[in-house]
Amino acid sequence: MNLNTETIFSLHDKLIKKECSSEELLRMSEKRIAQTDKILHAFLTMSDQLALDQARKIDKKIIAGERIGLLAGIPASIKDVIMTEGIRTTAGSKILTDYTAVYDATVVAKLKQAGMVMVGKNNCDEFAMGSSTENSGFGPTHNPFDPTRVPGGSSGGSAAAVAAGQVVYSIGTDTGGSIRQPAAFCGVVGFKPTYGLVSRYGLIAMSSSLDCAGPFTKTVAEAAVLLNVIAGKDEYDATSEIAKINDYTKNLSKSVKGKKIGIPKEYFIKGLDPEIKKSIMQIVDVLNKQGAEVMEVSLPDTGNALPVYYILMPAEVSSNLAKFDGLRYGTRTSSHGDLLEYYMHTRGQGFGSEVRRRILIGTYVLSSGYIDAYYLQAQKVRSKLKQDFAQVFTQVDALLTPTTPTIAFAFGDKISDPVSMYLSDIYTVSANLAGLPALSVPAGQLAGLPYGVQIMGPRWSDDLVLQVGFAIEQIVGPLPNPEI
Amino acid sequence: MIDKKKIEHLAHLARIELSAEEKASFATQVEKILEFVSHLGQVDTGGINPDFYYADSQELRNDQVKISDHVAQIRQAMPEKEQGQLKTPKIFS
Repeated sequence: MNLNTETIFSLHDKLIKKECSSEELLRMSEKRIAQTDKILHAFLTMSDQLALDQARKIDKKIIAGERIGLLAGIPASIKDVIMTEGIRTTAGSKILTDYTAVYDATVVAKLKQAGMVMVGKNNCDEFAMGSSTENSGFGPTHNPFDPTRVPGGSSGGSAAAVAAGQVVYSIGTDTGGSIRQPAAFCGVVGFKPTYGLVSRYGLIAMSSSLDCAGPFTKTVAEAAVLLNVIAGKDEYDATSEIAKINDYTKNLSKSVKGKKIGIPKEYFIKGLDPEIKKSIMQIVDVLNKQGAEVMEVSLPDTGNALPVYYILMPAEVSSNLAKFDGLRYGTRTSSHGDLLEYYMHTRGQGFGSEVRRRILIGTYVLSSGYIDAYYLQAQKVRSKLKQDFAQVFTQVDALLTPTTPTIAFAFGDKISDPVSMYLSDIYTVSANLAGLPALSVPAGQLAGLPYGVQIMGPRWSDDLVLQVGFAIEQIVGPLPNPEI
Repeated sequence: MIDKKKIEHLAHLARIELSAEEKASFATQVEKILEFVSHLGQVDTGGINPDFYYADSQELRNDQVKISDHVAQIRQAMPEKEQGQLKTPKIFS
């Protein structure tokens, strides 16, 4: 048995038929990590004893003949920007090198309740700021399909871990594309739910009006199963809402016949790899043949999305990251001088370049004399962008776009030029700005490297987005796993 | 125009120490990023309200005092402490 060819469903079946134990699955996952992580570096911390305790607890239940849920006993991992009680949680930052989380994020608490075996914590760009994991304070993750290339980011560790069969699923976060872009680069499914559907409590905040937690899986149906568990109102997140749907798997296999699918013309522009475009158009043709009504639509403010993002996100970053002062927790540099010198030194040494750059930009756009021209104007353009989507969703049920304009790029290609790195998120940021559900499904491979197709829908249409994603997954069919 | 002096000022406001080389490279990079976002100023936003909030409903929990279960762990996480209290560097020089 190989985790790479298994799903949550097949493993659940094997567990309840006692063909394997959860402890065996955990050992298999740990062995795979030991074999591959010298190359991939998808993990920052292993949870050893905790994982073993969780696995044995599930095994006891199975032996006692108790019913177990679908996720019970399945090895998984969590992006290191999400709090996990008693386990080191660094957010990929040196400023939290030795920090042990004191509580569980709500998503983690819910998954533990559902019987998750948490194998470890995944590498990511520092505080989730980046598109390649090259900004991790602990070294980058490598793409399992080609270790000379980036896995995408910021949740690159999560994507690589699922793609390489180190774990069965992982939970990441997506602020501007940080689940969908690495999912596309690593050939796995990545889902950013509607903003408000999944609690942000315990996500180490980067940009509170944009951050979303969501799953990485091999298949769309598994993402729907995970959403069933992690969705819902949480009293600790005032922006979370009651999930109005109790089973996101229910409509998955329903036909897309009669569904109206929009192709936003602004997403099929110069810079998009022609092969990716061709492949997505082939998918569109099949959807059309299956009875979906496909039409070209326009989202005129698309070109403003990244600039809006690179004003609002740093503004929120500069505010959210003010709390990292090294006094109450985290890395404390030698305390010479007074408090001011201490702050300057701790934050100067503890934060990497990209984090400091974004804090400075945020400080600038919020400063007196500039706030109206930058921050306020960006908020207004964000409103316009939301109106674009509201308008388009009066014509169509869902939108289909590429997830990224290219396949995974090589290490070093974009790291020295922040703006070129930011452009990797050109197709993904709009969904965050408008709070929409957006899913990346593997659409094919080019020169052995995966790319994805993105499905977006109106707020709270997560079930429809998953349904269209499921249909596309059937059209694309199985794709090769990485050879690592 | 973002020059070295402006970066120094921002870094002071944000309590971030930068090396001399970083001040120079950040000035160039921040300038380039602001240039990238600058065309937003030309977007016509007349009559459009800024969008600050995201929640569809505004249901807040009751303002009730609850005792945290994590006091011991929070104390444990403090890098420097004395008699159970957080110890900080001196505030006045």
